[in-house]
Amino acid sequence: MSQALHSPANAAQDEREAIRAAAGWYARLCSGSASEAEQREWQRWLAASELNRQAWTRVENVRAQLGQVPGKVASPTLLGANRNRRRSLRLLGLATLALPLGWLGRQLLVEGHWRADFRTAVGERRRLTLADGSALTLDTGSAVDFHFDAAQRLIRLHAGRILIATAPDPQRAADGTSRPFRVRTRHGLVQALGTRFTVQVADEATTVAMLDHSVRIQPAGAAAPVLLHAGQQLSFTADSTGQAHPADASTGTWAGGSLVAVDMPLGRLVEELARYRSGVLRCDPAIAQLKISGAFPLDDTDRALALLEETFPLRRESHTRYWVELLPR
Amino acid sequence: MRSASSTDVVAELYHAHGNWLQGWLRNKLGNTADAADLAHDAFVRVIKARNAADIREPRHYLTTIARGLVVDLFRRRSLEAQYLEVLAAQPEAEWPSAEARALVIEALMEIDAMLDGLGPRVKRVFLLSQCEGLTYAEIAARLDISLRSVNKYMASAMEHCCLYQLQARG
Repeated sequence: MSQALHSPANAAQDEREAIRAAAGWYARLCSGSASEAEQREWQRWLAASELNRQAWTRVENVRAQLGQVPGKVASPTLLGANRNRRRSLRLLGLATLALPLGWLGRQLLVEGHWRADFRTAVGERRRLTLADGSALTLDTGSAVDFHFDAAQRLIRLHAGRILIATAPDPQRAADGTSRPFRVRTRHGLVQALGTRFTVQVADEATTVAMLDHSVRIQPAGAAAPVLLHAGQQLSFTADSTGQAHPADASTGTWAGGSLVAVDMPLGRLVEELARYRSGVLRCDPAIAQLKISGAFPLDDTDRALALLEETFPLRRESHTRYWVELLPR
Repeated sequence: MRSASSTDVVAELYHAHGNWLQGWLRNKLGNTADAADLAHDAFVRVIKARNAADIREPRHYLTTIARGLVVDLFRRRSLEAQYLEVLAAQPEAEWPSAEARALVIEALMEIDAMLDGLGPRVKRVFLLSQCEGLTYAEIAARLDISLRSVNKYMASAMEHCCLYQLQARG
Protein backbone atom coordinates (compact mmCIF):
# COMPACT_ATOMS: atom_id res chain seq x y z
CA MET A 1 0.00 0.00 0.00
CA SER A 2 2.60 2.53 1.10
CA GLN A 3 4.78 1.18 -1.71
CA ALA A 4 2.12 2.05 -4.24
CA LEU A 5 1.75 5.54 -2.79
CA HIS A 6 5.41 6.28 -3.40
CA SER A 7 5.74 4.91 -6.86
CA PRO A 8 7.42 7.40 -9.22
CA ALA A 9 4.16 8.20 -10.99
CA ASN A 10 2.51 9.19 -7.74
CA ALA A 11 5.56 11.13 -6.61
CA ALA A 12 5.41 13.19 -9.78
CA GLN A 13 1.71 13.74 -9.25
CA ASP A 14 2.31 14.88 -5.64
CA GLU A 15 5.03 17.19 -6.81
CA ARG A 16 2.79 18.74 -9.41
CA GLU A 17 0.07 19.31 -6.86
CA ALA A 18 2.50 20.94 -4.44
CA ILE A 19 3.71 23.20 -7.26
CA ARG A 20 0.16 24.16 -8.15
CA ALA A 21 -0.55 24.99 -4.50
CA ALA A 22 2.69 26.99 -4.20
CA ALA A 23 1.84 29.01 -7.32
CA GLY A 24 -1.64 29.67 -5.92
CA TRP A 25 -0.15 30.90 -2.66
CA TYR A 26 2.31 33.05 -4.48
CA ALA A 27 -0.42 34.72 -6.53
CA ARG A 28 -2.38 35.33 -3.33
CA LEU A 29 0.58 36.80 -1.45
CA CYS A 30 1.53 39.07 -4.38
CA SER A 31 -1.92 40.58 -4.47
CA GLY A 32 -1.08 42.74 -1.48
CA SER A 33 -4.47 41.97 -0.02
CA ALA A 34 -3.72 38.69 1.74
CA SER A 35 -5.06 38.83 5.28
CA GLU A 36 -3.04 37.92 8.36
CA ALA A 37 -5.10 34.76 8.68
CA GLU A 38 -4.14 33.82 5.12
CA GLN A 39 -0.48 34.49 5.81
CA ARG A 40 -0.62 32.17 8.82
CA GLU A 41 -2.33 29.57 6.72
CA TRP A 42 0.43 29.83 4.12
CA GLN A 43 3.03 29.33 6.90
CA ARG A 44 1.20 26.21 8.01
CA TRP A 45 1.07 24.93 4.43
CA LEU A 46 4.80 25.53 4.06
CA ALA A 47 5.60 23.68 7.30
CA ALA A 48 3.31 20.79 6.45
CA SER A 49 5.64 18.86 4.12
CA GLU A 50 9.03 18.69 2.52
CA LEU A 51 7.34 18.58 -0.88
CA ASN A 52 5.65 21.91 -0.16
CA ARG A 53 8.95 23.48 0.84
CA GLN A 54 10.58 22.18 -2.34
CA ALA A 55 7.76 23.58 -4.41
CA TRP A 56 8.15 26.96 -2.71
CA THR A 57 11.88 26.87 -3.45
CA ARG A 58 10.96 26.55 -7.12
CA VAL A 59 8.79 29.64 -6.84
CA GLU A 60 11.73 31.50 -5.31
CA ASN A 61 13.99 30.29 -8.12
CA VAL A 62 11.61 31.61 -10.75
CA ARG A 63 11.56 34.94 -8.96
CA ALA A 64 15.35 34.99 -8.81
CA GLN A 65 15.57 34.24 -12.51
CA LEU A 66 13.22 37.09 -13.37
CA GLY A 67 15.27 39.33 -11.11
CA GLN A 68 18.40 38.87 -13.22
CA VAL A 69 17.20 41.51 -15.65
CA PRO A 70 16.07 45.00 -14.62
CA GLY A 71 12.28 44.98 -14.74
CA LYS A 72 11.85 48.06 -16.87
CA VAL A 73 14.02 46.37 -19.51
CA ALA A 74 12.75 42.80 -19.23
CA SER A 75 9.07 43.44 -19.64
CA PRO A 76 9.07 45.57 -22.83
CA THR A 77 11.82 43.44 -24.38
CA LEU A 78 10.06 40.14 -23.78
CA LEU A 79 6.66 41.40 -24.87
CA GLY A 80 8.01 43.23 -27.94
CA ALA A 81 10.31 40.43 -29.07
CA ASN A 82 7.41 38.07 -28.87
CA ARG A 83 5.50 40.12 -31.41
CA ASN A 84 8.48 40.21 -33.79
CA ARG A 85 9.00 36.53 -33.41
CA ARG A 86 5.49 35.52 -34.23
CA ARG A 87 5.87 37.46 -37.42
CA SER A 88 9.26 35.94 -38.18
CA LEU A 89 8.24 32.38 -37.46
CA ARG A 90 5.19 32.75 -39.63
CA LEU A 91 7.47 33.79 -42.42
CA LEU A 92 9.79 30.93 -41.64
CA GLY A 93 7.00 28.43 -41.94
CA LEU A 94 5.97 29.78 -45.30
CA ALA A 95 9.33 30.62 -46.72
CA THR A 96 10.47 28.36 -49.51
CA LEU A 97 12.73 31.03 -51.00
CA ALA A 98 15.85 32.37 -49.41
CA LEU A 99 14.81 35.93 -50.16
CA PRO A 100 12.19 36.67 -47.51
CA LEU A 101 14.33 35.10 -44.82
CA GLY A 102 17.44 36.88 -45.93
CA TRP A 103 15.45 40.04 -45.70
CA LEU A 104 14.11 39.00 -42.35
CA GLY A 105 17.58 38.21 -41.07
CA ARG A 106 18.59 41.74 -41.88
CA GLN A 107 15.50 43.14 -40.23
CA LEU A 108 16.20 41.27 -37.06
CA LEU A 109 19.86 42.05 -36.82
CA VAL A 110 21.11 44.43 -34.20
CA GLU A 111 20.11 48.05 -34.86
CA GLY A 112 16.90 46.97 -36.44
CA HIS A 113 15.45 50.47 -36.73
CA TRP A 114 16.43 51.29 -40.25
CA ARG A 115 16.67 49.16 -43.29
CA ALA A 116 19.86 48.99 -45.30
CA ASP A 117 20.23 47.72 -48.86
CA PHE A 118 23.02 45.35 -47.90
CA ARG A 119 24.07 43.93 -44.59
CA THR A 120 26.46 41.32 -43.39
CA ALA A 121 25.90 39.25 -40.27
CA VAL A 122 28.53 38.90 -37.58
CA GLY A 123 31.29 36.72 -39.05
CA GLU A 124 30.14 37.25 -42.63
CA ARG A 125 31.97 39.09 -45.40
CA ARG A 126 30.52 39.96 -48.72
CA ARG A 127 31.90 41.24 -52.00
CA LEU A 128 29.71 43.24 -54.36
CA THR A 129 30.22 44.76 -57.76
CA LEU A 130 28.36 48.03 -58.01
CA ALA A 131 26.46 49.35 -60.99
CA ASP A 132 29.44 51.47 -62.09
CA GLY A 133 31.87 48.54 -61.87
CA SER A 134 33.40 49.59 -58.55
CA ALA A 135 34.13 46.76 -56.13
CA LEU A 136 32.84 46.88 -52.59
CA THR A 137 33.66 44.44 -49.81
CA LEU A 138 31.56 44.53 -46.66
CA ASP A 139 33.30 43.41 -43.50
CA THR A 140 31.58 41.60 -40.64
CA GLY A 141 28.49 43.23 -39.12
CA SER A 142 28.29 46.01 -41.70
CA ALA A 143 25.41 47.81 -43.38
CA VAL A 144 25.31 50.08 -46.42
CA ASP A 145 22.86 51.45 -48.87
CA PHE A 146 23.37 52.94 -52.29
CA HIS A 147 22.19 56.13 -53.89
CA PHE A 148 23.43 56.20 -57.44
CA ASP A 149 21.89 58.91 -59.60
CA ALA A 150 22.83 61.32 -62.37
CA ALA A 151 24.68 63.59 -59.97
CA GLN A 152 26.69 61.24 -57.78
CA ARG A 153 27.58 57.72 -56.68
CA LEU A 154 26.86 57.72 -52.97
CA ILE A 155 27.25 54.92 -50.46
CA ARG A 156 25.85 55.40 -46.99
CA LEU A 157 27.77 53.39 -44.43
CA HIS A 158 25.58 52.78 -41.38
CA ALA A 159 27.69 50.31 -39.50
CA GLY A 160 30.91 48.37 -39.77
CA ARG A 161 33.62 48.62 -42.39
CA ILE A 162 33.94 48.55 -46.18
CA LEU A 163 36.77 48.31 -48.66
CA ILE A 164 36.23 50.16 -51.90
CA ALA A 165 38.08 49.97 -55.19
CA THR A 166 36.52 52.59 -57.40
CA ALA A 167 36.15 52.17 -61.16
CA PRO A 168 36.09 54.98 -63.72
CA ASP A 169 32.54 56.20 -64.05
CA PRO A 170 30.88 54.63 -67.13
CA GLN A 171 28.34 57.46 -67.23
CA ARG A 172 30.60 60.38 -67.91
CA ALA A 173 28.92 63.64 -68.74
CA ALA A 174 29.41 65.17 -72.21
CA ASP A 175 32.20 67.40 -70.89
CA GLY A 176 34.12 64.34 -69.67
CA THR A 177 33.53 64.91 -65.96
CA SER A 178 32.48 61.85 -63.99
CA ARG A 179 30.04 61.63 -61.11
CA PRO A 180 31.79 61.90 -57.75
CA PHE A 181 32.12 58.69 -55.76
CA ARG A 182 31.31 59.34 -52.11
CA VAL A 183 30.88 57.50 -48.85
CA ARG A 184 28.74 59.15 -46.20
CA THR A 185 28.79 58.22 -42.52
CA ARG A 186 27.13 59.93 -39.60
CA HIS A 187 30.37 61.88 -39.17
CA GLY A 188 30.82 63.23 -42.65
CA LEU A 189 31.63 62.63 -46.28
CA VAL A 190 34.59 60.88 -47.91
CA GLN A 191 35.09 61.63 -51.58
CA ALA A 192 37.21 59.26 -53.64
CA LEU A 193 39.71 60.60 -56.13
CA GLY A 194 40.15 57.36 -58.13
CA THR A 195 41.25 55.00 -55.51
CA ARG A 196 41.24 52.04 -53.06
CA PHE A 197 40.44 52.67 -49.41
CA THR A 198 38.60 51.43 -46.37
CA VAL A 199 36.02 53.28 -44.29
CA GLN A 200 34.99 52.11 -40.85
CA VAL A 201 32.25 53.73 -38.83
CA ALA A 202 31.90 53.40 -35.07
CA ASP A 203 29.74 55.32 -32.61
CA GLU A 204 32.31 57.94 -31.82
CA ALA A 205 34.25 58.40 -35.08
CA THR A 206 34.80 57.32 -38.67
CA THR A 207 38.22 56.00 -39.70
CA VAL A 208 39.55 56.07 -43.27
CA ALA A 209 42.63 54.15 -44.35
CA MET A 210 44.14 54.65 -47.82
CA LEU A 211 45.64 51.91 -49.94
CA ASP A 212 46.01 53.76 -53.27
CA HIS A 213 45.72 57.37 -54.36
CA SER A 214 43.75 59.74 -52.19
CA VAL A 215 40.39 60.87 -50.83
CA ARG A 216 38.99 64.13 -49.57
CA ILE A 217 37.28 64.01 -46.19
CA GLN A 218 34.60 66.51 -45.30
CA PRO A 219 33.35 66.23 -41.71
CA ALA A 220 29.62 66.86 -41.32
CA GLY A 221 30.18 69.84 -38.99
CA ALA A 222 32.21 72.96 -39.58
CA ALA A 223 35.71 71.45 -39.74
CA ALA A 224 37.72 72.08 -42.91
CA PRO A 225 38.14 69.28 -45.47
CA VAL A 226 41.40 67.28 -45.48
CA LEU A 227 43.16 65.23 -48.12
CA LEU A 228 44.37 61.77 -47.20
CA HIS A 229 47.01 59.98 -49.28
CA ALA A 230 48.05 56.38 -49.90
CA GLY A 231 49.51 54.67 -46.82
CA GLN A 232 47.83 57.07 -44.41
CA GLN A 233 45.03 56.63 -41.95
CA LEU A 234 42.86 59.16 -40.14
CA SER A 235 39.86 59.27 -37.82
CA PHE A 236 37.31 62.05 -37.81
CA THR A 237 34.14 63.06 -36.04
CA ALA A 238 31.49 65.49 -37.23
CA ASP A 239 33.41 68.39 -35.71
CA SER A 240 37.07 67.51 -35.93
CA THR A 241 39.65 65.62 -37.91
CA GLY A 242 42.51 63.86 -36.17
CA GLN A 243 46.12 63.70 -37.36
CA ALA A 244 46.91 61.54 -40.37
CA HIS A 245 49.34 58.79 -39.44
CA PRO A 246 50.80 55.76 -41.23
CA ALA A 247 48.11 53.15 -41.89
CA ASP A 248 48.37 49.81 -40.06
CA ALA A 249 50.09 46.96 -41.86
CA SER A 250 46.78 45.11 -41.50
CA THR A 251 44.77 47.66 -43.53
CA GLY A 252 42.43 45.89 -45.91
CA THR A 253 43.82 42.40 -45.21
CA TRP A 254 40.45 41.48 -43.69
CA ALA A 255 38.94 41.53 -47.16
CA GLY A 256 41.06 38.47 -48.01
CA GLY A 257 39.77 36.57 -45.00
CA SER A 258 42.63 36.97 -42.59
CA LEU A 259 43.81 39.62 -40.24
CA VAL A 260 47.52 40.23 -40.69
CA ALA A 261 48.98 41.74 -37.56
CA VAL A 262 52.44 43.21 -37.21
CA ASP A 263 53.27 44.16 -33.63
CA MET A 264 49.61 44.80 -32.96
CA PRO A 265 48.68 45.19 -29.28
CA LEU A 266 46.64 42.16 -28.18
CA GLY A 267 43.86 44.47 -27.00
CA ARG A 268 43.34 45.78 -30.52
CA LEU A 269 43.58 42.37 -32.12
CA VAL A 270 40.92 41.09 -29.71
CA GLU A 271 38.69 44.05 -30.58
CA GLU A 272 39.04 43.17 -34.25
CA LEU A 273 38.32 39.46 -33.73
CA ALA A 274 35.37 40.30 -31.48
CA ARG A 275 33.69 41.99 -34.44
CA TYR A 276 33.52 38.57 -36.12
CA ARG A 277 31.86 36.77 -33.23
CA SER A 278 28.55 36.89 -31.42
CA GLY A 279 28.79 37.51 -27.71
CA VAL A 280 31.69 38.79 -25.69
CA LEU A 281 35.37 38.32 -26.43
CA ARG A 282 37.74 40.23 -24.18
CA CYS A 283 41.27 40.17 -22.86
CA ASP A 284 42.68 40.84 -19.44
CA PRO A 285 44.04 44.43 -19.28
CA ALA A 286 47.29 42.96 -17.92
CA ILE A 287 48.08 41.48 -21.34
CA ALA A 288 46.36 44.03 -23.56
CA GLN A 289 49.69 45.57 -24.57
CA LEU A 290 51.28 42.26 -25.57
CA LYS A 291 52.65 42.71 -29.13
CA ILE A 292 51.21 40.17 -31.56
CA SER A 293 52.37 39.32 -35.06
CA GLY A 294 50.80 36.74 -37.30
CA ALA A 295 47.97 35.99 -39.71
CA PHE A 296 44.66 35.08 -38.11
CA PRO A 297 41.71 33.51 -39.96
CA LEU A 298 38.62 35.64 -39.66
CA ASP A 299 36.20 33.00 -40.87
CA ASP A 300 37.07 30.75 -37.97
CA THR A 301 37.77 32.93 -34.94
CA ASP A 302 37.91 29.88 -32.66
CA ARG A 303 40.92 28.75 -34.67
CA ALA A 304 42.37 32.27 -34.50
CA LEU A 305 42.07 32.13 -30.71
CA ALA A 306 43.61 28.65 -30.61
CA LEU A 307 46.55 29.99 -32.65
CA LEU A 308 47.00 32.85 -30.22
CA GLU A 309 46.92 30.45 -27.30
CA GLU A 310 49.54 28.20 -28.92
CA THR A 311 51.93 30.98 -29.81
CA PHE A 312 51.69 33.53 -27.05
CA PRO A 313 51.79 33.38 -23.23
CA LEU A 314 48.06 33.46 -22.70
CA ARG A 315 45.20 31.08 -22.12
CA ARG A 316 41.53 31.03 -23.04
CA GLU A 317 38.74 30.76 -20.59
CA SER A 318 35.25 30.31 -21.97
CA HIS A 319 32.19 30.27 -19.78
CA THR A 320 29.78 29.84 -22.66
CA ARG A 321 30.24 30.03 -26.38
CA TYR A 322 29.21 33.67 -26.08
CA TRP A 323 31.71 34.62 -23.42
CA VAL A 324 35.42 34.08 -23.98
CA GLU A 325 38.25 35.72 -22.07
CA LEU A 326 41.98 35.73 -22.71
CA LEU A 327 44.05 35.66 -19.53
CA PRO A 328 47.78 35.69 -18.73
CA ARG A 329 49.21 32.18 -18.56
CA MET B 1 34.70 0.97 -27.82
CA ARG B 2 31.08 1.82 -27.98
CA SER B 3 31.68 5.56 -28.05
CA ALA B 4 34.35 5.21 -30.76
CA SER B 5 31.91 3.45 -33.04
CA SER B 6 29.21 6.03 -32.36
CA THR B 7 31.73 8.75 -33.29
CA ASP B 8 32.33 6.90 -36.56
CA VAL B 9 28.63 6.92 -37.24
CA VAL B 10 28.50 10.68 -36.68
CA ALA B 11 31.48 11.14 -38.98
CA GLU B 12 29.69 9.11 -41.65
CA LEU B 13 26.56 11.17 -41.18
CA TYR B 14 28.59 14.31 -41.50
CA HIS B 15 30.22 13.20 -44.75
CA ALA B 16 26.96 12.03 -46.24
CA HIS B 17 24.76 14.95 -45.17
CA GLY B 18 26.92 17.81 -43.83
CA ASN B 19 27.02 19.81 -47.05
CA TRP B 20 23.41 19.10 -47.78
CA LEU B 21 22.36 20.34 -44.33
CA GLN B 22 24.44 23.47 -44.73
CA GLY B 23 22.74 24.10 -48.06
CA TRP B 24 19.32 23.59 -46.51
CA LEU B 25 20.17 26.09 -43.77
CA ARG B 26 21.60 28.58 -46.23
CA ASN B 27 18.38 28.40 -48.12
CA LYS B 28 16.41 29.10 -44.94
CA LEU B 29 18.69 31.82 -43.63
CA GLY B 30 20.02 33.43 -46.80
CA ASN B 31 23.39 33.68 -45.10
CA THR B 32 26.43 31.41 -45.33
CA ALA B 33 28.04 32.21 -42.00
CA ASP B 34 24.94 31.50 -39.90
CA ALA B 35 24.27 28.35 -41.96
CA ALA B 36 27.75 27.00 -41.25
CA ASP B 37 27.39 27.78 -37.53
CA LEU B 38 24.05 26.09 -37.19
CA ALA B 39 25.07 23.04 -39.24
CA HIS B 40 27.96 22.63 -36.84
CA ASP B 41 25.65 23.02 -33.84
CA ALA B 42 23.26 20.45 -35.28
CA PHE B 43 26.01 17.82 -35.42
CA VAL B 44 27.11 18.71 -31.90
CA ARG B 45 23.55 17.90 -30.80
CA VAL B 46 23.69 14.58 -32.63
CA ILE B 47 26.94 13.73 -30.86
CA LYS B 48 25.50 14.70 -27.48
CA ALA B 49 22.31 12.71 -28.03
CA ARG B 50 24.49 9.57 -28.51
CA ASN B 51 21.86 7.94 -30.66
CA ALA B 52 23.44 8.44 -34.07
CA ALA B 53 23.38 4.70 -34.80
CA ASP B 54 19.60 4.57 -34.35
CA ILE B 55 18.73 7.33 -36.78
CA ARG B 56 16.55 5.93 -39.53
CA GLU B 57 15.94 8.95 -41.72
CA PRO B 58 19.00 11.11 -41.23
CA ARG B 59 17.91 14.07 -43.34
CA HIS B 60 14.56 14.26 -41.67
CA TYR B 61 16.22 14.00 -38.27
CA LEU B 62 18.85 16.63 -39.09
CA THR B 63 16.31 19.09 -40.43
CA THR B 64 14.21 18.65 -37.30
CA ILE B 65 17.20 19.59 -35.17
CA ALA B 66 18.21 22.37 -37.54
CA ARG B 67 14.72 23.84 -37.57
CA GLY B 68 14.87 24.12 -33.78
CA LEU B 69 18.24 25.85 -34.04
CA VAL B 70 16.92 28.30 -36.63
CA VAL B 71 14.03 29.15 -34.31
CA ASP B 72 16.53 29.69 -31.48
CA LEU B 73 18.67 31.93 -33.64
CA PHE B 74 15.69 34.07 -34.54
CA ARG B 75 14.68 34.11 -30.90
CA ARG B 76 18.07 35.46 -29.97
CA ARG B 77 18.12 37.99 -32.82
CA SER B 78 14.66 39.28 -32.09
CA LEU B 79 15.44 39.57 -28.37
CA GLU B 80 18.67 41.39 -29.16
CA ALA B 81 16.95 43.77 -31.54
CA GLN B 82 14.11 44.43 -29.13
CA TYR B 83 16.50 44.90 -26.22
CA LEU B 84 18.50 47.49 -28.13
CA GLU B 85 15.32 49.27 -29.08
CA VAL B 86 14.29 49.40 -25.42
CA LEU B 87 17.75 50.68 -24.45
CA ALA B 88 17.65 53.30 -27.18
CA ALA B 89 14.62 54.82 -25.46
CA GLN B 90 16.61 55.28 -22.26
CA PRO B 91 19.17 57.96 -21.39
CA GLU B 92 22.56 57.02 -22.78
CA ALA B 93 24.14 57.37 -19.33
CA GLU B 94 22.15 54.34 -18.19
CA TRP B 95 23.26 52.01 -20.98
CA PRO B 96 25.12 48.99 -19.65
CA SER B 97 28.53 47.95 -20.96
CA ALA B 98 28.83 45.45 -23.83
CA GLU B 99 29.65 42.68 -21.35
CA ALA B 100 26.66 43.50 -19.19
CA ARG B 101 24.46 43.57 -22.29
CA ALA B 102 25.65 40.11 -23.33
CA LEU B 103 24.76 38.77 -19.90
CA VAL B 104 21.36 40.42 -20.01
CA ILE B 105 20.65 38.80 -23.37
CA GLU B 106 21.61 35.37 -22.02
CA ALA B 107 19.31 35.94 -19.04
CA LEU B 108 16.52 37.15 -21.34
CA MET B 109 16.90 34.02 -23.49
CA GLU B 110 16.36 31.86 -20.41
CA ILE B 111 13.39 33.86 -19.17
CA ASP B 112 11.89 33.90 -22.64
CA ALA B 113 12.20 30.11 -22.90
CA MET B 114 10.58 29.77 -19.50
CA LEU B 115 7.65 31.98 -20.45
CA ASP B 116 7.23 30.35 -23.86
CA GLY B 117 3.84 28.68 -24.14
CA LEU B 118 2.02 31.09 -21.84
CA GLY B 119 -0.93 32.83 -23.46
CA PRO B 120 -0.18 36.45 -24.40
CA ARG B 121 -2.56 37.84 -21.78
CA VAL B 122 -1.25 35.60 -19.00
CA LYS B 123 2.32 36.53 -19.88
CA ARG B 124 1.46 40.20 -19.89
CA VAL B 125 -0.18 40.05 -16.47
CA PHE B 126 2.77 38.15 -15.05
CA LEU B 127 5.37 40.58 -16.42
CA LEU B 128 3.43 43.66 -15.38
CA SER B 129 3.31 42.36 -11.84
CA GLN B 130 6.75 40.76 -11.51
CA CYS B 131 8.88 43.07 -13.64
CA GLU B 132 7.09 46.38 -13.64
CA GLY B 133 5.77 46.14 -10.09
CA LEU B 134 2.18 47.05 -10.89
CA THR B 135 -0.47 46.18 -8.29
CA TYR B 136 -3.27 43.78 -9.19
CA ALA B 137 -5.70 46.71 -9.24
CA GLU B 138 -3.49 48.62 -11.70
CA ILE B 139 -3.14 45.55 -13.92
CA ALA B 140 -6.88 44.90 -13.84
CA ALA B 141 -7.54 48.50 -14.86
CA ARG B 142 -4.91 48.56 -17.57
CA LEU B 143 -6.01 45.32 -19.25
CA ASP B 144 -9.68 45.78 -18.43
CA ILE B 145 -10.02 42.44 -16.66
CA SER B 146 -11.26 41.48 -13.18
CA LEU B 147 -9.09 41.17 -10.09
CA ARG B 148 -10.04 37.51 -9.95
CA SER B 149 -8.64 37.00 -13.44
CA VAL B 150 -5.39 38.75 -12.50
CA ASN B 151 -5.04 36.42 -9.53
CA LYS B 152 -5.86 33.37 -11.65
CA TYR B 153 -3.39 34.36 -14.43
CA MET B 154 -0.66 35.01 -11.88
CA ALA B 155 -1.08 31.56 -10.36
CA SER B 156 -1.14 29.79 -13.69
CA ALA B 157 1.95 31.69 -14.94
CA MET B 158 3.90 30.80 -11.82
CA GLU B 159 2.81 27.19 -12.03
CA HIS B 160 3.92 27.06 -15.66
CA CYS B 161 7.36 28.51 -14.78
CA CYS B 162 7.88 26.08 -11.90
CA LEU B 163 6.96 23.12 -14.09
CA TYR B 164 9.31 24.40 -16.76
CA GLN B 165 12.13 24.48 -14.22
CA LEU B 166 11.18 21.02 -13.01
CA GLN B 167 11.56 19.69 -16.55
CA ALA B 168 14.64 21.69 -17.43
CA ARG B 169 16.61 21.06 -14.26
CA GLY B 170 14.92 18.14 -12.54
